[in-house]
Amino acid sequence: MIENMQVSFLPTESDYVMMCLERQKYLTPKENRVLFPVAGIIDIVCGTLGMILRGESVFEMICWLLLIAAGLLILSYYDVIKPFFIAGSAASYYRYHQKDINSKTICINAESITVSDELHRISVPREYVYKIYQAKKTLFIFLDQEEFIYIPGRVIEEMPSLNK
Amino acid sequence: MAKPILTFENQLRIGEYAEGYRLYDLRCGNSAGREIKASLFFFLGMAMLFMLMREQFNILKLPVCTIVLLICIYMCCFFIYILPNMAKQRGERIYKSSHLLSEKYTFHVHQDYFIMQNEYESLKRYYTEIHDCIETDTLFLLIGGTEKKLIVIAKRCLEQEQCETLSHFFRKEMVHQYRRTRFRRRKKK
Repeated sequence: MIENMQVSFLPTESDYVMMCLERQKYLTPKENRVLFPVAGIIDIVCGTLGMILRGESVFEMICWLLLIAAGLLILSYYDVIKPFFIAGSAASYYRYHQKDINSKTICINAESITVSDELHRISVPREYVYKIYQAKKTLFIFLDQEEFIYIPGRVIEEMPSLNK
Repeated sequence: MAKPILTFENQLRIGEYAEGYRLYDLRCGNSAGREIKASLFFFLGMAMLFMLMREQFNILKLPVCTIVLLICIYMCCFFIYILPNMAKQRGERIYKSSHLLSEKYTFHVHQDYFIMQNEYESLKRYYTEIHDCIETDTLFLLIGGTEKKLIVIAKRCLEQEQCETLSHFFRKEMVHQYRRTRFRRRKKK
C-alpha cells in the first residue's frame, strides 16, 4: 500500500540515538538474538552447578564466579551492553556533529521519494528504493544496503504502513 | 556562484567502489584497528605455544592450549586477510543494491566545497566536514559528513592534468586529512 506524506523535521539527540539503536537491532542477525541468551543461560547454569558441586577452594570459587559473570555478560549483550555503548557513542557523535545536522523535508508519493536539506537533495523513483523498514519509533528508507534516510516516529502522527 | 576550480564527470564501476569501500572499512569501519586486535591474538597464541613447549605432557592442558592456539591462528588470519576481503565483498553487494552508485555524477570543485550532482541527487560538501581524504593509484576517497559518508572518485574518469590538479588541490586544501597510500616503486635499471 502506498500513501502520500510530507514531513519536515530537525533530528534531535533522542531521535538520533533511537535511530542508531533501531538500526543496530535491524542489522543484528536473528540467530544471534536467540543464541546469545541460550549460551549465557548455559554458562550461568554450569557456573552455578560447578560452584555448588566443585567449589572446594577459594581459587575454584573465583573461577566459577568468573564463569557466571561471563554468562551474565553474554546473556545481556544484545539487550543491555551493546545498546548502552551504541547510545553513548550516538549521543556523543550527535553533540560533536550538531552543527552539520540540518533540518530535512521528506516527501513520499506514489511515484517518487524526495529528501532535501540545506546541502543535500535526493529525488528518486520508488523503484530506486532498496527497502522500507518500519521500526517501533523510526521509519527507515534504504537507498542501498547501507545508505538510508530516516524519519523519527514523533513526526509521523500515525505511522503509515509503507511497502515497497 | 563562484566559478569552480575544476569540473569533471565520474561514473564508478563495481570494482572501484568495492576497493574504495575496503579502504573506508580499513580506515573507519569494522576493520579499523585490526593490527592491534591481530597482534593481541598473536601474543596469546605465542603464550600458548610457550606453555605447550614448557609443560610436561598433561592430559588437560595439552588439548586446551592446542585449541586456544588454533583459535588464535584463525583470528590472526581473520583480522589480516578475511576481514578486508569481506569488506570488499560487502562493497560489491552495496554497489549492486544501489541504483545511484552506478549513475554518472558531475563534480564541481570549488575553493571551500565541492558539489556532486546528477539527475537524481545533488550534494554540496564542505571540506571541513571531511575527516579523511585518501589518494590511491586509481581512486580518490573523501570520507566524512553525516550522510553519504564515502565518496569515491575514479581517476580513470579524469584526464592526467585534471588528476594532478585535483591531487595538488586536495593536498593543499586538506593538509591534515590528506594521505597518499604507499605503493612500491619499481627500481629503474
